[in-house]
Amino acid sequence: MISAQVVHKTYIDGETQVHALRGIDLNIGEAEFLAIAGPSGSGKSTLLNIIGCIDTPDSGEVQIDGELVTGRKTRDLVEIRRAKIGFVFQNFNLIPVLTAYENVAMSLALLGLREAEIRERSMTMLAEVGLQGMEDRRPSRLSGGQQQRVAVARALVKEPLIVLADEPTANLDSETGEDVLKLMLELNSRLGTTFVFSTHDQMVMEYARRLCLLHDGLIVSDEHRSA
Amino acid sequence: MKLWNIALRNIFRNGRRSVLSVLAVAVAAMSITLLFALVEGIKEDVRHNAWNYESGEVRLRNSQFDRYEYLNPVHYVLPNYEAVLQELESMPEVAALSPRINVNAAAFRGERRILARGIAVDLERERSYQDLDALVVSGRLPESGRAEALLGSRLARELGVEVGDSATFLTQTRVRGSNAFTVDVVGLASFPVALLDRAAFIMPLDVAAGYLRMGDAVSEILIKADGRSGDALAERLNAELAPRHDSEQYLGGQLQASSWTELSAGYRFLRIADVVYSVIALFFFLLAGTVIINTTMMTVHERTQEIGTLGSMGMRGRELVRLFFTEAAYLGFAGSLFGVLLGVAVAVPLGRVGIDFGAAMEMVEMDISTVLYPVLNFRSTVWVFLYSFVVAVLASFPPAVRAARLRPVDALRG
Repeated sequence: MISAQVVHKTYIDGETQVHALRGIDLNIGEAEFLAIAGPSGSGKSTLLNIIGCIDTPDSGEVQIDGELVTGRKTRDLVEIRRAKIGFVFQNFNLIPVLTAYENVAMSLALLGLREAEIRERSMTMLAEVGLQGMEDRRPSRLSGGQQQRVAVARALVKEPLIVLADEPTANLDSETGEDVLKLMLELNSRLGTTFVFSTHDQMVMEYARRLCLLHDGLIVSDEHRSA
Repeated sequence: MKLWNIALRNIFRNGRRSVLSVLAVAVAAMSITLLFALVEGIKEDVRHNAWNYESGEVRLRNSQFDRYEYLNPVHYVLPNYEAVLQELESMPEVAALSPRINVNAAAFRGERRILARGIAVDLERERSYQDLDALVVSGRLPESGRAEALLGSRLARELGVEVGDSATFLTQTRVRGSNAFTVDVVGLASFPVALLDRAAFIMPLDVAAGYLRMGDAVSEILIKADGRSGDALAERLNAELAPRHDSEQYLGGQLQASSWTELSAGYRFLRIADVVYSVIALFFFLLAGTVIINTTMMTVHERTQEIGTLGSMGMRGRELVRLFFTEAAYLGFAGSLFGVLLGVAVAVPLGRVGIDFGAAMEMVEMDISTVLYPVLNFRSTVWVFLYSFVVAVLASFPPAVRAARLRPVDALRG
């Protein structure tokens, strides 16, 4: 479903040239629950950004759903993100002026769906993540865990091929983090959506069904685990 | 979730900054509304004064008079003026007529020579041309056939006369002889123009004709047009009326019609002023625009991560631009509306009581009144609103485009 072949990425950080990815090969199948782990600067976020079509590799090829995305125009990448990719961020990144419902509905509104369908799917998804009755709350009136649930709902409501989660538990206490992980695992099992995490949280690694370890821009270990 | 709704909420995120932006646009819109109302008032005033005291909307004179005006050629007159008036009255586009004799005169007070300008008018006919009664501040208007005059208040002070006194003037007759005449001061006038107030007096046409040996002639005929523009009427008069009059009677000259737009210095000044004020308006709006640019830039800077989030969700660049545009549109709309309403609220009462420029206008050599009344012009007020609104919205364009061009990956880093 997702294939990255010999992906290289170098960026400039101040006056230093950083080789973030040095020829990554990675294939991700349907309904995987994959954690990409590694120390800071190992390239895990860069890899996630490239898979998520918000960054481009210097060389190599990335295919999503059989479609080559490297070398595509910016507006094509926007359309791919809009339809096929959901993001969950470390800081939740909810839109503060929107309610929980509106944050979720926004994903569907961008797809140009009808109001009734948006409402039905958003409410259902909020219920799925356990936020029934909190639809009208703005992010400032939600706890960190609840905000991350809204972010998960926002990512999943459009039924993407893949959800990319960058350090999703980093700003949550361990109990809340585990709740969110369990939720994502359950949704992965039930909806069949692929989840890819970048993390250095041990708990996330434990929950992962597949764990890739990155070091200095290279995959040094790729472990598949049984459920 | 509609973009306009998100934009509306966004402007309340930093209420104080939004209020400041609205105020900046409002101040510009209010100032320009007032400025345009004042300019419109000045235009109206210049037109009114030029039509009543200087040139009419169209002025008929002997063409030789204009040629030798610097020599005060009082002998270049419009002879047989009653016949000319009859011809003019038969023309539908002529609304009102004022035959006049210009009495360039001097009076003496002790050793001092005081220059005065008599405007001799047919008092009956003048009623349909202008409201002379409105000029009278004490006493009454002079009557036809009587040696009476209505003096400008300042002129009366200069001469040391009051209502009931008499004043003697020295002038030149049509045959270029000197003649002195004495008139009873029956009233004092408040002319709107300071220059007139300290020099002008109004007297009956028939009396002035006698003193100046004018016979059947007048110095000029002022015309107000009905419907048609003065320019068109002057053109028609020059084409149709002038050739019918014998050049010999005009001492080699001819009957010549001139529109006020070519005669009035005030009109020419206002045409330049129009451009100057429009440039000033542009600068005001650009200034307000920079505030909107600044606000949008700060907003973009503050919401960089949010822009990244929206980009990662698949929001298109043009949708992001529209979001910031809409926010600026709200601010621009509120500021423009508030500013124009404030401008109207200030201009309307000022239009009633006027703004007294008093001493500042004393030495202005133009037909501009000392008290000016701002006049709100619906079209220009609507333009001010639209212009300030559009400038405010366009000002958000550069930072909005910059936001739209941010790569989500960079924006997410903040």
